[in-house]
Amino acid sequence: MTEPDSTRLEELPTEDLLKINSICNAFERAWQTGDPPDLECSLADVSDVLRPILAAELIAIDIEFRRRAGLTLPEREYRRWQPDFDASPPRGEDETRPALPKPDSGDEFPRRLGDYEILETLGAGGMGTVYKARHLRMDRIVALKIIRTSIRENPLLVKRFEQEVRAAARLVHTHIVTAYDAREDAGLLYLISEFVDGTDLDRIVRRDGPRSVVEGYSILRQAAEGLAYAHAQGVIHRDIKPANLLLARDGTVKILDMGLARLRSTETGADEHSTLTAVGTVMGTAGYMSPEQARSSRETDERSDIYSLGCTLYFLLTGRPPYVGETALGTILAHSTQAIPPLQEHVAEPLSPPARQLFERMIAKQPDERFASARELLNALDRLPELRDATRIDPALGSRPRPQTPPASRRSLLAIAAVLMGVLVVAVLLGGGLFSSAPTTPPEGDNYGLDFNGRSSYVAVPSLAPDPTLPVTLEVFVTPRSERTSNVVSWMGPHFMALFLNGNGNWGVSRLEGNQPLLIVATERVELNRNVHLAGTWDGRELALFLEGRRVDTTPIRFDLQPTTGGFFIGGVPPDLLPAGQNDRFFDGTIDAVRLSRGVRYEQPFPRPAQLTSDDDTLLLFNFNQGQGTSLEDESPHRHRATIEGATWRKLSGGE
Amino acid sequence: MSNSPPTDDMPPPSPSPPLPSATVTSWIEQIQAGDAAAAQKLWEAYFLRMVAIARNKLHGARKAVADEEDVALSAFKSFCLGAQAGRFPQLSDRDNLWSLLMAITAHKSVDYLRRELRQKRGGQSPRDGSPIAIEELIGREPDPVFAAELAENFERLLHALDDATDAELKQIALRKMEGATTPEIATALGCTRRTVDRKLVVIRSLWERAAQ
Repeated sequence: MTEPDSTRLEELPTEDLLKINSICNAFERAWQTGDPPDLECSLADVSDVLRPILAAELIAIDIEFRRRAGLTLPEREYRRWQPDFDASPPRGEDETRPALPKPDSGDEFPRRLGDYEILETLGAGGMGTVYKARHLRMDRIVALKIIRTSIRENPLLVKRFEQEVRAAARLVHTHIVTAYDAREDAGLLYLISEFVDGTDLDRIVRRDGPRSVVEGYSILRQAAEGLAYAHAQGVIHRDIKPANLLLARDGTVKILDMGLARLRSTETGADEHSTLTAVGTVMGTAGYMSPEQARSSRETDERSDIYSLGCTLYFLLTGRPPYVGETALGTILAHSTQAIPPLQEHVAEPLSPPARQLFERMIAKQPDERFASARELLNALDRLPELRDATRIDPALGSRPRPQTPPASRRSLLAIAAVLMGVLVVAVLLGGGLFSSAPTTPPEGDNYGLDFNGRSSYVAVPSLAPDPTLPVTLEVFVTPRSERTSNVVSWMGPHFMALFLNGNGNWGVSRLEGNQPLLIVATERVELNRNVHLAGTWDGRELALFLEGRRVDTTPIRFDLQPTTGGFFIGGVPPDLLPAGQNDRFFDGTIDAVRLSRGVRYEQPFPRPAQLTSDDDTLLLFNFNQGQGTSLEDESPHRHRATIEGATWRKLSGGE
Repeated sequence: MSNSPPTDDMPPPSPSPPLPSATVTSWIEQIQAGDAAAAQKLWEAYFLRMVAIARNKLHGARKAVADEEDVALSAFKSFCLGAQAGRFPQLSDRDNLWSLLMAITAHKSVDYLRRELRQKRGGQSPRDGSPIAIEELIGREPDPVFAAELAENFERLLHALDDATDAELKQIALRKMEGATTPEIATALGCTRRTVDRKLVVIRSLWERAAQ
């Protein structure tokens, strides 16, 4: 029906065409930024000859946007400019798309893709359908997302996708779902990431109703930890919402699709100028999008993620996002125009004034009025009465022993809730006996170490991210009690590196390099119950092992190492982070100190160091001389926090 | 002196050839009048070989490619990939920018092409300067000189789009050349279909102007 218009458009001289094009662009941009344009104004600036042609173009654009947003068409207004207007589908509506494989149609899915066996459908996300899959050789369960897009037909975009995923794979953190790899097989482009046994918070709240105040703020805290880490790496999420936060069975909150913001925009067609694009995406996101992000994606920074996280908190506690318009567009506008809804009015439990203020500061209209960083938000969260007994306290701030929360297990959340609603007992051991602490006050200057039981104890430093390309030195002062196959320290992630003891009683060092497991072990036997300095180095090509300052003869061994989620662990690794059969590598003995350094610290023989100290190359240092408590702060300037899970303090005799 | 007819060696001054858009229109009419399926087959065979030649030319000619040239280069790569996957531009499609690019290039090189065609047919071709029928062009082996010319023209025409200060024109031209449909382009750029159609009109107009 619009064919005559377009014919006439084609007959125009280039200059007129350019003028019409630029007016149409401005009109469309107004729609894209959530500010519906005025037809009459847009038509005011052209000659009578051009006006009907321009009107036909603008009306066609107007119709497409109104239909996307579910708005009614102002047909009378249209007829004013185009008397023969009728509301039949616009030109091009019925154009058929070229045939593409449809992995997401019905319950048909490929049984196998490359090295992966597809087990079941997990759901359909913004970028495509997600499956649970198993790596055939490594027997590893992963999430496999087939990208629903035409990008695989464009080599440039495929390359960009792969770059994006490689960058995202560097983000390894307890509270982030790790991306592993991007692959292309059978004409399908897919993303492999960590499989998390859990459910997203959008679904949980819709199914079970709002969360309690303590649970809501605890979830917020975990997500903020993940964000703080990603932001420190320069990565903004840009689509924080309940559907992108997974609650794992063990209670850990994990952020989905971190580092894939640009990929999402490739998929949905949003670019630097437009954020209002695919309808489904906008519908899912509108309730959580900051005012500045709705205006222009170029203005977004970490404070936009904080805003979205604030909206997510509101949803967790009330069951609905803070602003709900009649349409997606109305919702987006409400973020900038409506007053911040008072959280307490929609939450039955009493909220402390700081908890309310924290929420309001998160969703302030102006980015400058929000927390400047996720780190600052975390500091404020740590001061909330709601979480006071549920969060780790910096040992430097207080001397009394504190109960510790592991990254909020479901059990501990219930326990916290019980504490708050009922009796206020300070010294409840949350998490039910996972912790043991020996709160004896040590005299200053004593040498302490941590004793590991060889069954379940370990120290976790979740925030340490591996840098896959880095030459690195791992070293410890260690006293083994038995020749148990165990990992003394494990730097987890895609390039899993460890100092270990094998079942034959040899020290060893291992690293996963480009999916290739490299392991060397000493040819000499370990001496039990003797404290030694042990160091392993990786220079980018080779591993080396030093015992008491001398380079020991080693032999390579074969072992199937697998990439894991990240974090640094001492004395053992939580069993769920390692594959079955390899998840009981708990060290039996005492560890006196641990240092992780950038670069190869030892190439030549060296005297046994008296003590490990921090310098410019130190990434992490623990001397374990605190002698009490269940949380620690790393002695390097990086100040990583560690929690002690089951290991006990032991006073070491002098001279060791 | 007798009036001797002009010889091949001394062609008469040629009348100015028709504008490319007229050539495209006449091409489309030819296709519709004749056996469209056969013409499309012919075109596909020609296209595949010609793009391969153009790509090699471009690749050989420029080792250190600047960004802009890199764009053209990758575009040619993707045409080639698309063609190998059986995705060919439809010759009968009015919006097909390939026809326009071909026509502009043929128009520019008409005299050269005429001579080539004539040599191959023993001088039986019409005179220089008259438009070339598309069957005539694609019914023979692609000419490396023509293919190189085509690739260079493409780059030049992409530059011509900069005049409009609308960055999306270039993106749409590239995607269209790669065989994407209007709805696909609209989705990829997050704009309306009508806008893609409108910008294709603008692109054609700018290209025709640049060709004059």
